[in-house]
Amino acid sequence: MARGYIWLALGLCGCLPDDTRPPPGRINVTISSDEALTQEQGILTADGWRVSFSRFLITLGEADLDDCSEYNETDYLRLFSLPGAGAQRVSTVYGLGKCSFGFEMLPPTRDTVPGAGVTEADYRLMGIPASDGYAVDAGAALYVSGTAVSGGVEKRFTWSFRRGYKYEFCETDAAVGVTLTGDSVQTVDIQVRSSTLFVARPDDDSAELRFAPFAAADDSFGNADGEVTLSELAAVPFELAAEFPEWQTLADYLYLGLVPSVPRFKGTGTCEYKPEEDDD
Amino acid sequence: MRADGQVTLKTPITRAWASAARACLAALFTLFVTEPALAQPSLVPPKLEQDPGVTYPKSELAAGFYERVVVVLILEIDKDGAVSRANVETPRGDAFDQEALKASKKLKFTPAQRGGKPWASRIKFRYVFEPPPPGLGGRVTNASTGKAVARVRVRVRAADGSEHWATTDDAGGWKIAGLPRGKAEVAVLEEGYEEQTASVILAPGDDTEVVFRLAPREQAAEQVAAKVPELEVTVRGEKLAPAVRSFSRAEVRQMPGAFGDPFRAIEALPGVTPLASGLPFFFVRGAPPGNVGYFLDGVRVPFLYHVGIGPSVIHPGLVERVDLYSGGYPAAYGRFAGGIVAAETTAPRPVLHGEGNVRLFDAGVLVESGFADGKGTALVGGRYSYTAALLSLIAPEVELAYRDYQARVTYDVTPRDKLTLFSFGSYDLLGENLDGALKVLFGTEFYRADLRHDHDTGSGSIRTAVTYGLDRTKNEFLAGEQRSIITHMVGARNVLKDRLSDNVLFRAGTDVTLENFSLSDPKYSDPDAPETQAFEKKFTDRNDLVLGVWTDFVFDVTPDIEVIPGARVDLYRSGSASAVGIDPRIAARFAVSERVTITHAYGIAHQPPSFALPVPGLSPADLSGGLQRSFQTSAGVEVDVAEATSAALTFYHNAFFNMTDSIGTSNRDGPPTMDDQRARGSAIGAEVLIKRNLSKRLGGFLSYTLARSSRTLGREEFPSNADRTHVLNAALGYNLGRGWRPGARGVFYTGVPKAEESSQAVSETRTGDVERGPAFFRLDVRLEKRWVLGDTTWISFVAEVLNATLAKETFGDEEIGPVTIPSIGVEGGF
Repeated sequence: MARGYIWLALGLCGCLPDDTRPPPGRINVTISSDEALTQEQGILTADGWRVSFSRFLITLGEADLDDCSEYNETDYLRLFSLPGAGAQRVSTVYGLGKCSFGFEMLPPTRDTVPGAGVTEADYRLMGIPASDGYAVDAGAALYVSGTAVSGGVEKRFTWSFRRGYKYEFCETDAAVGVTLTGDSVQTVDIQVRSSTLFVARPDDDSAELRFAPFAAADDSFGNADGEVTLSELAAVPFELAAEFPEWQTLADYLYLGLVPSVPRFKGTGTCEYKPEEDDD
Repeated sequence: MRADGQVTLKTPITRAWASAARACLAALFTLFVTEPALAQPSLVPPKLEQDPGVTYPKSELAAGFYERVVVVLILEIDKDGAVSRANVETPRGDAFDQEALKASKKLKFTPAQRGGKPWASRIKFRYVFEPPPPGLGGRVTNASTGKAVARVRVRVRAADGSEHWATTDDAGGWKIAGLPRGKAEVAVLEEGYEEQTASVILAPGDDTEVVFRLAPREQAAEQVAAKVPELEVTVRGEKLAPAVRSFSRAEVRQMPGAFGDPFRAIEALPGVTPLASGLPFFFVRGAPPGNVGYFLDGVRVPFLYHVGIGPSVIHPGLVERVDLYSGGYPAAYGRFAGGIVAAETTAPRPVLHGEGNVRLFDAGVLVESGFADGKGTALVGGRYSYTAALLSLIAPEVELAYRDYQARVTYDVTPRDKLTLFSFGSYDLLGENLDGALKVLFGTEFYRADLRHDHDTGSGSIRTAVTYGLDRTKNEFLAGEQRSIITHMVGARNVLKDRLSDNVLFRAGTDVTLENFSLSDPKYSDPDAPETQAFEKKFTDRNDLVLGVWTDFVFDVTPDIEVIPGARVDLYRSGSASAVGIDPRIAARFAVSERVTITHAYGIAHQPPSFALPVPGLSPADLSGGLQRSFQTSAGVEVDVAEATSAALTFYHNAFFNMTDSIGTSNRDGPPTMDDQRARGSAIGAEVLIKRNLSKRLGGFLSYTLARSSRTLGREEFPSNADRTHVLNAALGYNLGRGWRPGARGVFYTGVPKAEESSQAVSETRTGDVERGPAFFRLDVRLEKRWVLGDTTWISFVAEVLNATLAKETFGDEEIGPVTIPSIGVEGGF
């Protein structure tokens, strides 16, 4: 007792409150690939092109809970080389209550954690800043390369998408966001739907896939060298421009309309997204 | 006077200590005996029984001779113990010799004995003539009434830089003994009165009397106008280390935008730029806030301001003076490579006095009194914010609280020994109540207890102290989640000051600090998060040991030249890594004329890796990258322009090596990171300070800095992110009479380089040419109305606004603010 008074008299007491919060629930956030990535032969589009990817790099992370009790922060990205072996870990977040869920797809930073199989070359490929018609001095958030074959004709494509996106308020048909109860554990998988890059309509998951307009960009609007470039796509008018006036060219449609929909919350879910530069 | 003697048998020589018959006199005798006596071991030497002592000859004092003189006499002592004959062995001048011979006649001994019988003997006897210390005293009266003013404090700053305090008695009298000779600055500092100072020359043997006639502040202007006879006052610069900048408590209280906080007032000094307007984290000559050390009575203060922008954690009433050492600081200070802010607490006062204030957000109080007939003093003070109660009305989910305390007990064990127990602490909490549970967004607390013993050696002092400290910081996302980092600190220090001669003051010290850091275990962390990993690596559980030794000499080469060479060596050990810092320092002051002084300060300073901002417990562990190191140089000229008005121009160049300056080097937007990129740096500039004491009827200052601060990372050289080319502070206060004193301060600085968007994995090369943000200007205003209710009692109404112009500041492309801090309150003291 006397010792206690002495400490008290000297003011040597720790007064900050202890952590009295109830135990949270845990979410293991993972990333997985669609069939177009996992199947060696790729996918067959409705217009007869077999599309396959030889390299698919994506930087994704910063999984975030909001509108509930957040217990930690995972303020980092991972660089993934897909398809990889099954679902790969993105991060672990803790929270309690009914939370909105979000994440980001961004060019890698110096702190970006490499996923399985990622090489230094992958890191540099994504990290070297460059400019295109949609981003200035930015690394790539998504890099894809592959081939499309039809009737003995092969077209190659290598595209870097440099715009980053912040995804918020993710939901599925079954639920909005995620609900965490104390000491519970659940998995939230973000599926990378590569086939989305070739979908005919941006607002319809069941819309058919096609590659012919891309091939035509090289043949009719480009140099017909077998390489479909973003510059060539930028010369192709978007066929649905009247319906979607924000996309005037096929490149607009691919870059701004389809790429943001590549990552899918819980496979079939959707999120509100906005370009990173608009994030305030 | 002191008398020393030596007793020695002729051959073989045997030695014995005579008993200390007289207080403070240790006598050692030399006894000459003849050869036959050797065969008679029963010889007992004479024993000193009575010694009235000697007096330093007044004729010598009048002639200006103040040296210590030793006169050795040969005394013949008869069988009765009386001195039958005395001769001077080594003449030292007629006055001393005669005084010694005269005094020897009054000596009385127990005679020597042989075989149990009294025996005549002959001994050597030494008289030591020490020049008597000057006496200084006087009275303090009320200029209006002529009555004595009791219980006011009188400060004497002696020629050796030491400070001495006295408190007037009921008759207004005061007296201080034991002062060194030379020029002394005497000041009366009392709330409610105009500060008065006097410059006097203290000579040994003289009793100097200084009479102050205090005028209540509101009467001071009228007194001046009516030409009331004034004391002959010569205001001189304080006898401090060369190149130091200081604000006294009285000045700080009048500075608009400082809220009376001495630590906040340093923002106005040249060479100092804030991280952001209103945010009291300062860059000093290009060094980031984490490289600036804050000390209170030699005890490091880990966190200075409540909730970042709030008041300082030390009650202003306890702080006598704040000194800013921008470079080349005294060897007593180390372990910080950027600068030192050293504050001194007020001297203990054995009379009941106190002060308090009630403001919009908090209230503070400080009370001190004496006990044991003035041998002891007890002080208690603190501040408590009621923001939590206020916020609960507006935003019930937000919890904001801060408080601090200071307590001090002193006791004069002997006239030369003082024991002091000083404890202070601070608590800050910003939290959010969610579902009945408190989420700590930011919480920090620290506590210090310092027990010290001060011994007055006569020619100097010895301080021995032990300190215990506890720091704890808790953050919402500290290492990725809500965790806390706790530091236990035990330290000991010893400081010796000794005047070796009239021209040389020797100072030396040792200090050792042992700190135990512990980071609370992760509960809800993502183990792969780089930020978490970096934090846990940098702030890992460990024990840190720092051992330091320092010394310097204050050489008064001539009355106009002062040179202070010194050095300190610090041994650092953190975990299993070690490093050594060797810091030579030298400073000098050359009085070119009565009013013009040239100052120089050069030094090397080392510091372990540091966090960008001073936060309790956030002390990086990694010594493997070596110590941060700076070479600091400055040269300047100081001019006493007129009474209480001075001007100074200083040029400086600091070079930094191995810096951990994440603020200055980061090319990413956002808060400081844990990045440990080691950088080189350079800071070059010119500083101007024109100042008229703010406590005067018309007071103010102009402080300007022209600077360039750059960093080098690898091959990249670029301006520091905190580089501001021009920084200007100008303040003016005026006593309108009747207790009204308005004041204003303008703050202007040019913009910092815009942060480049370069978050890519492969960074871009930065160049020296960068785009800068716009300049910033703000105006702080202060209005005080003071009522003096008695000789020592006063009450004031103070309204103050920092950034009354509601100016916004731009960082990068983002506009922040306006950060405007209003304060309305009532202060009082007795």
